Amino acid sequence: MRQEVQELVALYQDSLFAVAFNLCKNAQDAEDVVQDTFIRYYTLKKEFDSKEHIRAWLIRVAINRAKNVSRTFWRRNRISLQDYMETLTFETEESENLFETVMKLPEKYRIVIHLFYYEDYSVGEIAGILNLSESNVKVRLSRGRTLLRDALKEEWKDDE
Amino acid sequence: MTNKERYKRAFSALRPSLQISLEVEEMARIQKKHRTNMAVAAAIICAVILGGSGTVYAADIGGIRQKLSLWIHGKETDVTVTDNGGIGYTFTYVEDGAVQEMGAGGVSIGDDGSETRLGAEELAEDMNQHAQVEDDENGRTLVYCYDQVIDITDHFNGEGICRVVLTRQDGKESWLTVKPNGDGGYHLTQRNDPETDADLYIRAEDLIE
Repeated sequence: MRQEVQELVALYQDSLFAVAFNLCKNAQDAEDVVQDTFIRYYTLKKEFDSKEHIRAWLIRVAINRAKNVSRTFWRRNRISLQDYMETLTFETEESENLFETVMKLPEKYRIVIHLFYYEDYSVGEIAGILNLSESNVKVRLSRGRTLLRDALKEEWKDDE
Repeated sequence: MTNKERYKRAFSALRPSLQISLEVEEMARIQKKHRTNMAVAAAIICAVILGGSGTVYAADIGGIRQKLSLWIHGKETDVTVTDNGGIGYTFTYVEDGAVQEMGAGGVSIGDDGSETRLGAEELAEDMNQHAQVEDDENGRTLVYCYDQVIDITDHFNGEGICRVVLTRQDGKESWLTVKPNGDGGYHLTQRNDPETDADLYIRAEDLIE
């Protein structure tokens, strides 16, 4: 099955931008990743099993593209994360602290945390998207949570 | 409020500014054209660099179509060669049921600096000994060399460089350095010896699944 690109853009644009930003730490690079991901979908003409399959594929491609962008020497010198954060509107100071703390985590923990807490993916699904073993994902999730708890104290619960 | 709710609230501040939906089709057209041009340019540069042995054949296949065998994406593939004049050839082949074309060409540089056009067979022989690097449909970065397909997505170092030791079709080792060129492609350096400390290279056999 296929979904119209316009439909996917409406559904997943924000989500792909968030996952790309999580890795790139740069809004313009993340926007390039989102655009490239939709172009890849548009040009590939790949058939999918389900809507969820499409979503997971888009996220996987965005992650791989973002890794690619992050390591290129051609990265544009743009505004810093701190400066960019000042352009964002956070609902609460707690939200801003959480955002900043997550972005300071090592990449391998950050992306697993994001897929779990933002995209609601299970450990098994994250393992599939990142091409990791489930035990590896569990370890990264656990270490990421510990770092968040240590940094955020009472602002990060022990719920999961 | 749960941690998931907290997290989503924090990251809901992120919004792309770009109007993506209006540009997808146009960007696809531009990207396709751009990548085709990049492939042709890379093949020409590759052939110029690799044709330094001084060995030159006088074969002139102008106007005649040849059949050759090329390793493309890890598979031995029959290609039809069309001579385009100049230093260029068009290699036409079928991949996944679709007809594909690839432009390539090059010259060999003699000891005296003279340049001689590479024949299609020489060109194919050189291309078969050298790696290609591409991103696949899932965005993974793959090295293709002979019958090997190697996923190097997660093996770029902190400087954005991936170094791999490959085994070529002739059984010899090649030391490959891959750097993104910032334009969606890769700059490759392939040598018969390590460019730097051999310990910095990953062996391809350790990455093949």
